[in-house]
Amino acid sequence: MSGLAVRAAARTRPVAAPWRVSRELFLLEARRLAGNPLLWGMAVLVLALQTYLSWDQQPDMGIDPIAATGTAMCLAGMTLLVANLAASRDRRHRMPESLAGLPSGAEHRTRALLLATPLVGGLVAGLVLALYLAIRYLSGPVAGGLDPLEPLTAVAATAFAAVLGVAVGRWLPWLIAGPLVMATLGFLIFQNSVNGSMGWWLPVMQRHAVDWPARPSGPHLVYVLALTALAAGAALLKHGRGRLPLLAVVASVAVAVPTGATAAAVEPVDLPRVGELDLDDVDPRVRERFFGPRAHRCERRAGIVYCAYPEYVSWIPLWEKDVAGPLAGAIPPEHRALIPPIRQLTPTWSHGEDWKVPAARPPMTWKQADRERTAQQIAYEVLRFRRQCDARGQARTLVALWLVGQVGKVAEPDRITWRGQVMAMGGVDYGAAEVGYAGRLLAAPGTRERLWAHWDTLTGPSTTIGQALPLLGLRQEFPLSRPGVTPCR
Amino acid sequence: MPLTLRAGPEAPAVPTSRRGSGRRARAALALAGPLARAIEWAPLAAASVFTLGLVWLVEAGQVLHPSVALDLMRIGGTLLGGAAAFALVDAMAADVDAAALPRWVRQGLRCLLAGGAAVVVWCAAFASLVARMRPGQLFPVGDLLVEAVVCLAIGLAAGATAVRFTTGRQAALAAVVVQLALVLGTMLLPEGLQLWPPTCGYGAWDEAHRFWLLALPVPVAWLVASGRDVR
Repeated sequence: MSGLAVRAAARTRPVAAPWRVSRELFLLEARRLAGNPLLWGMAVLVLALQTYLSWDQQPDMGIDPIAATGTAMCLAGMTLLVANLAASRDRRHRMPESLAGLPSGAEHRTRALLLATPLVGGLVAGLVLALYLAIRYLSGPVAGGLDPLEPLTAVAATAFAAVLGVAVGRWLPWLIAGPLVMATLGFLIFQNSVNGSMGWWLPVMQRHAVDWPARPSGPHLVYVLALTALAAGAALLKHGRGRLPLLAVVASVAVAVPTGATAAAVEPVDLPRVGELDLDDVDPRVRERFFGPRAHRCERRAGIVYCAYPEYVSWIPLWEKDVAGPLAGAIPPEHRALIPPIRQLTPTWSHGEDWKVPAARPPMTWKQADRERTAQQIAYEVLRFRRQCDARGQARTLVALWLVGQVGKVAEPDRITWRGQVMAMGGVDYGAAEVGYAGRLLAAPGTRERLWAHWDTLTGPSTTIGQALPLLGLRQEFPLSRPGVTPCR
Repeated sequence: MPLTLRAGPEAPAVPTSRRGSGRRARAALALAGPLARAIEWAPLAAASVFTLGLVWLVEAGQVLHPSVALDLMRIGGTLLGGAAAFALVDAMAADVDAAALPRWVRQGLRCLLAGGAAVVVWCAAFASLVARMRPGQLFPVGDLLVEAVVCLAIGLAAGATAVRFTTGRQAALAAVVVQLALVLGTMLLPEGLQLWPPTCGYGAWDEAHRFWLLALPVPVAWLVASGRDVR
C-alpha cells in the first residue's frame, strides 16, 4: 500500500484509528522493553548486590526496603536510558524518512512509550523489590514493621525515571542528554545526605537509620507519582498544546507542590552532637518509643530476662541461641544468676539510657560484631568489672575473654581518645598478652572444668595472671604489660 | 566528509616496511584534521558544558568541601568518558574499509582526539574546583587523573566494541551503560575493597590508586583490540 493510499484510508476513519495505533504501538513497545537485556541485566545486578550487601544482617523491615529502594535507583537510571533510547529511536536509523510516509504522527509513539516504559520499568522494579523482600523474609526471624509505601516508592521512582527519559528524548534531541539527566539525578540523590529535609524534593530519600523518626512516605509517594504525571504531560506538550497534556501538567503541579512541601516540612532527625548528653538530647519524636514505660517487651527464658523493642521480640530466641545460651553453659550454675538482663538499646540514642542499670545491650542489628559485643557485656557483668578501667594482668580478664571466645573471636579492644584520655571501647582495657592467653585457653581441652574448679579464685579481682597460669595448666609465654592509671578493682 | 587521502604518486595501499610506517605516521597526521572535522563533537561539548556548569554551580560561592569536589570530579570524569565514545561512531565505517590507513589508526586517532579533549576539559574542571577549595587542602591531581583516565578508557573501549557490531550513534551509549554497571559494581564492594575512597589521602586511598594504575592497561588493551579490522 502506498503512502498516499494509507493517508486516504486514514482520512476516511478519523476517530477510531488513532487510539488503535497508539494501542498497537504500546503493545509493541511493551514487548520490546520486556525483552530488553539492559533492563533485566541491571535488575539482576541490583538484586544480587542488595542481597549480598545485607547478607550478614538479620532481616529488618524497618530499613531493608529503604536500602533496597536506594540501590534500585540504578535500575531506575537504566530505565531512564532505555526509555530515552526508545523515544529517540524515530530519529535514528534513517527513520524520519520512513515514518514521514505514515498516517500516524510522532505523538502516537510518545503516547505508547509513556504508557509502556513506566509500566514495564515499574513492573521490573516491583519484581526486584518483591524478590529481595521475599529473600529477606525467608532468611531468618524478621524484625521491624514493613511500610508498604517504601517499596512502592521504588516502583514509582522507576516509573518516573522512564517517563522522564521519554520527555528528555522528545525535548532534547541529543543522545547524550539521557545520560546527563541520569547523572544529575544520581549525583543529587547520592549527595542527599547533605541536603537535610530538602532531600525530600528528590524522587528518593535514601538517608535513614532504623531508629530515626518516621519518614513521610505517604506524601512522598504521591509527590513522585505527581512528578511522573508532570513529566508525561511535558512529553506530550512537545506535540502541541492539547487539552490532556495541559491538564496533566496543571493537575500534577497542583498535587506535587503541596505533597512535596509536606514531606520536606518534616524536620530532619536531630542527631546527637559531641559532648555530655542525656535523655533530653534524644529527638523528642522517638523518646517515647525507645525510653517510654512501654518501650520494651520482656520475657524470661531459662532464668535469663530478655527485653526487646516490640517489633524486635522475634529476635529474642536469636539472642538466646547465639550468645546468652552458650555463655550460660560456660558459667558455673551457681553463678548464672549474675547474668544481667539482655535489654535492647537503640544505637543512635544510646545516651538516653541509664547506664547504671546492669544489662547487656544488644543493638537494633544482629551481626557477628553485635554478638561479640553483647557477649562481652555479659562477661563483664558476671565478673563484676567496673567500667572505664584497665584490666591488664588480672586473671578474671582471661575468664572474660574466654567467655567472649565462646561466641566469636577475641581481639584487643578498639581505643578512642576522649579529652586527652585513651579509652577502650567496651569500657575495659587489656593488651596482647591477655588476648594470647585467652587463645591458649580456648584451644586447650578441659578448660571449662579447670575454670569451674577454681572459679572463685580466678574471678577474684586480686588474682593475677601469674597466679592463675598454673591453675589453668598454662605456662608463661606472653610478656605482661603494666595496667594504666585506672586499674580495674 | 574527506576521510580518504589524496593518493600521492608514492603512497602504497598497505605500507609494511620501516619506511612505510614513517609514511603511515605522516598520513595519520594528515588525517587528524579531516577526522577532527568528521567527529561528532556535540555530545562531548554537552558533557563538557554540563561538567563545568556542575562544578561551578554546586554550592556556588562557598568554600567547597573536598568530598563533594571528589564526587563532582568522579561524575564529571565518567560522563566525559561516556561522551567521548561518540567520537568513535564513524558514519562511513562501511565505506572506508578500503582506505589507505588501517582501521586501528583511524579509530586510534579518534580516541586520541576525543580522549585528549575530554582530559583537557576534566583538567579545567579540576582547576576550577581547586580554586574554590581551602588553600592547602589535599586534592591530588595525579591520583584523580588516573581514576578519570581509567573511566575514560573503559568508556572508549565499550564504545569501540559497540561500533563493531552496530551502526548508528546509539552504539556510543554502550559506554554509558558499561560505566553505569561498573560504577555500581565497584562502589558497593565490601569494606576491605574500596575503589572509590571518599576522603583524599585517607584510609584505602593509596591501595585504591595503586589498583587504578595497575588496572589502566586492561581497558587500554581492550580498546586496542577493538580497533582491529572488522572482518
